[in-house]
Amino acid sequence: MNNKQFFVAVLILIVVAITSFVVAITLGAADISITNVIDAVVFHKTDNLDQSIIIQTRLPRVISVACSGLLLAVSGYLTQLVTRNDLGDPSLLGTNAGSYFMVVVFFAFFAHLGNQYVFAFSLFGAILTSVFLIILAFGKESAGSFKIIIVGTVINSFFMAITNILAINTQQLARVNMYNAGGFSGIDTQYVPVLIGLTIITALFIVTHLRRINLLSLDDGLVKSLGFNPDLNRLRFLIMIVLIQGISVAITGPVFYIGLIIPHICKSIFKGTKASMQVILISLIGIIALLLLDLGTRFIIQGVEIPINILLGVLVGPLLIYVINRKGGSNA
Amino acid sequence: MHKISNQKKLLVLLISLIAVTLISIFLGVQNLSLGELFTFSPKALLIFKLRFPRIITALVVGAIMALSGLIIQSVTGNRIADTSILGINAGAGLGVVIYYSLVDSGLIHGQALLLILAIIGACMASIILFYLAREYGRINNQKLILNGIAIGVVILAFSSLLALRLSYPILNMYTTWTSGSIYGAKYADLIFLIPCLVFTILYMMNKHLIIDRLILGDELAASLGVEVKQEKFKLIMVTVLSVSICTAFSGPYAFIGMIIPNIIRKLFTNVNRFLIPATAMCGSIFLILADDLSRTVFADASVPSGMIVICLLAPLFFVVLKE
Repeated sequence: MNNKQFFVAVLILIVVAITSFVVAITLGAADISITNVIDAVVFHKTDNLDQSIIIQTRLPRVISVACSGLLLAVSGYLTQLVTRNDLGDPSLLGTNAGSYFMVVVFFAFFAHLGNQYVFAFSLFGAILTSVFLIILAFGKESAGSFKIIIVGTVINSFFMAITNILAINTQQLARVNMYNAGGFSGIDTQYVPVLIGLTIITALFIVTHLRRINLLSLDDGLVKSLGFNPDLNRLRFLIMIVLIQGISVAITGPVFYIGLIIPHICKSIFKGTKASMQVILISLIGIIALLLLDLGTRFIIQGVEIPINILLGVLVGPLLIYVINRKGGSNA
Repeated sequence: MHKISNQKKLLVLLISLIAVTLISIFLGVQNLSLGELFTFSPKALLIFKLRFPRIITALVVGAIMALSGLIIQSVTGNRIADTSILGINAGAGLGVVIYYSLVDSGLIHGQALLLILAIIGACMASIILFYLAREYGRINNQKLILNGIAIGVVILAFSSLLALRLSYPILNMYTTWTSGSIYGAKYADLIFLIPCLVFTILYMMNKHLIIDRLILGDELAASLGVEVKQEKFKLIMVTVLSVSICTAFSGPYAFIGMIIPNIIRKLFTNVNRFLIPATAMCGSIFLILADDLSRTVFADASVPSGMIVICLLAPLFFVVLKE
């Protein structure tokens, strides 16, 4: 893919992203006219009920969905590059479950400290699981996807079991349940700025690290000859992944498989594109996909909102099976 | 060093199984004294009505889950395979959700239907799994596990989608079931469970020599006169059947099948004549103890035994993996 094609693709994706953003704000349980939407969003009017619905519930939700879409897709792609593994994804590797576990620990025992500490706990959970995973799955030699996935699966079910036990005794069970469903319906509006901030940091990080992202897919010896330390390079991205995971899980709960499947879709559409271009395309597609999926959770079954993780499992599971079984594909 | 013979080890396991079973009768929220037990007081009768079937169910389910792990590991030649990681339990689970949905809509209900649906679900899952994992006419081990995990993901998502539509009391029954619980065991269930265990053990013991040879690898087993494909198919069928029956009643118990056989292999010589009964007994002892814990220590919190099992066994998995 040459530069011209790349810019055209980015332009189209940005247009689609903005369109789906607008559609996501306009459509919903309450029937709201487009003029009201424009009045509310652009001119910050809250004259009538419809406009305040937009400002108070729909806009925060749609913004957080868009931010999470970017964050999850990017962190998934970076995980795949860092672990050199087609199946690398925080939800398969168990770091998601680790943060989530610490979030529940926080609500069970430390909720009196104040809600802002939930981020510290969630981050700690993500770091803990990552370290654990690195020690277990990466020995001297780089581990194949097989071992990582197995370890991840076990970490997942282990943490989920403890989490459920804790949740039984937690007074804030409703809160925990909201997380369990993993979704954006009950999102706490006071955290939306945090999510926006994280998204901006991530975007800046990507833009300043485009060259280093390309290095991730190169052989270690080659990276050294270019004057970079391959391990330190990986470490930078690892820290970013853990940061994204820890904070986004604390706000939205674990959202599965987006980070796995968006990069795969993107890689099969834009074959042979450099990682630095790929990561930008992936973040845009991530935004679009999660916006549409979130719309789907509201409209597929009339009157019932499907938890987004269930929808993702149904849609993404078959794709996962395809990824595992395609010929000469995964380095399993 | 003096080596203890396998027979003696088996005897020790048998004695501890009997001891654990007997002691468990006295453990629980309601204490029972020996005197009360033999005078047939109302309390004793109550315990025989509620607690005893629970203990026996734990015994049967523990044994079958552990055995299924042993067989799957022998057939696939993979030490960390078991029916739960391969998504077979999830398949049975899908059958169970469908059953609950049917009950919810007031169409039909009945134990037999529950069993049939669970068996169909587990069979479908395993057929898809082994179809996908085939490569050049034989099973690719890594593909088997990865596909199993992926199939588990898909089936679980579909099950949850169906569960969304369940109405309250039935949804509650279903969530209790998913966490792995023998809380509501009844004598009626034992009519299915006990024959299932007896048949599985007899069948496996009958085939123990064949399993020994299958471990050596397909070519060697074939040269020793084993009809590899047929025997593997039969063994997997029996495992899938017994596991789906257990899962239908007690929920998916993860890790018992994965870990227990590996512990037993450490303790016994690698001969299935000993491995099979030892694994079954060890699985029983373990699940009875886990259920005792959920009944006594965690009684107030009503923590299901399935979660206790995971918490106890998951750390051991990493020990197994390290080897």
